[in-house]
Amino acid sequence: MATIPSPKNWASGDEVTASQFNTDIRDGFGFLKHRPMALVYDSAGETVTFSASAPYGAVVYSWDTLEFDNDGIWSSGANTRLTCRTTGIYEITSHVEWTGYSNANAGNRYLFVTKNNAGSNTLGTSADIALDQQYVKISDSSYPQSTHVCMLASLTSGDYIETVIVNTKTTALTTIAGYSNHFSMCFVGSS
Amino acid sequence: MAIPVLRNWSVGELVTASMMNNYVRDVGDFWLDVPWVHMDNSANVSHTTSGSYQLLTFNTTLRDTDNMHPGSGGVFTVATTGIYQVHAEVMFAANLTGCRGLSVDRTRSGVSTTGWCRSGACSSYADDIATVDSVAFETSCQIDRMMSLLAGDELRFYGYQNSGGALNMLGSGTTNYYTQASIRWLGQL
Repeated sequence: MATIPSPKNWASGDEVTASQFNTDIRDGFGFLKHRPMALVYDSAGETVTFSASAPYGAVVYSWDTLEFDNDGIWSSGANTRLTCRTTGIYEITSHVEWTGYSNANAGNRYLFVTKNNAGSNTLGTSADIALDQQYVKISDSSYPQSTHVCMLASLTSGDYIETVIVNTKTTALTTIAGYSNHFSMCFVGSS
Repeated sequence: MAIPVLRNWSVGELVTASMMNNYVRDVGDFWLDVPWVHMDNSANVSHTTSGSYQLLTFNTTLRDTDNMHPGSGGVFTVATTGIYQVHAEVMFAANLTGCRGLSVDRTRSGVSTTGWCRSGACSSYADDIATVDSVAFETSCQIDRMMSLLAGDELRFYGYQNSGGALNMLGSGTTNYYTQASIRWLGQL
C-alpha cells in the first residue's frame, strides 16, 4: 500500500527540519512519481459461448500476464482481479477485442466492469459499474471487434474490480490473445 | 526531459537557494509540464485504400512539452522513459458502408509490434440511425491505453476502413470532431 502524502500546513515560527522536508517534499512528490498503477493482459484469449438463460454464458475474464504493477494490485492466484491497495480515485480501462466474424446475424458483444462481485458472472446487479455494448449488424471478418470501457471510480483499499464479457452470437466466439486485450487502473487523486 | 531527483534531506545540512530550486521548484514545475504531446490535423486526410491500414498524420501541435512530434507526419518519439497514457481518435466522414478501426503500433529498437490497442471495427461502422433513415453520420474510433515506454520508442497510429473506396479522415479545420492523438507521462514504476 502506498502512503498518500498529507502536506504540512506551514506556520510562522516553524523550524524546518530534514524530517519535514523528507515527508512533505520528497515523499509528496515521490508519491506522484510512483502513483499506484497496474496493467495486465491476456496471453491466451477466452472462448465465450452464449447461453439462452442467465447469465448467458458470461465469462469473468482472466488476465494471466502482468505488464506492470507498483502497488500489489494484481496476483497470479486471483488473476481476474485488480485490487485497490491505496484508497482513491482511479482511472480504469478494460479493453477486449473479439475475433472478427463474418455473419449477417453476428450478435452483440458486452463488456462489464464489476466491483466486489466475488468472481460472479451474474450481471445486472449493483456490482456492475460500467458497460460497453456493441451491436454487430454487418457481415465482415476483416477486423477484430472491440469492447472498451475507460472510466473513473472511487475505490477503497480492498475493493477489487473484474471484467465480465458476454457474446450473444449463438456459437462460440474467441477473444484475441496478446497484449492488446488489457485491464488497468491508475491512481489519479484522493477520494 | 529530465525526471527530477527527489532529495533525501539530512539533519544538519544547510538548505541553499540552489537546493530549493533543484528539489522544490523544479520538481513542482515538472508536474506542471510533464512529458506530454497532443496533436491534431487541421485538414481532412483521404484514407485512400479501402481494406487497409493507413498511417494517421498530424500537422498541428496543441501541446508538446518533450519534443515528441516534429510537427508534421505520423511518428511520435518518446524522449523520457515512463508509463504513459496514450489516447487517439480518428473521425471518418459519413458513409454507410463497411467497418472503421483505429490501431496503435510501437517500434522499439527498430522492431515494430502492431495492434497494442485496436478499437472500432464492425461495431463502429456507419451509425445505426443511418441504416434506418438512410442518412449517414461521421464515425469515430477511440483508443485509451497505458503503455510502458522507453526513450526512443516510436508510436504510430493507423486508421482502417473498408467502405469500398477512399474515405476522408476529418481534420480540426472542418469539424468539431476530428482526428487527434495525445501521449502523456503518468509516472514511473
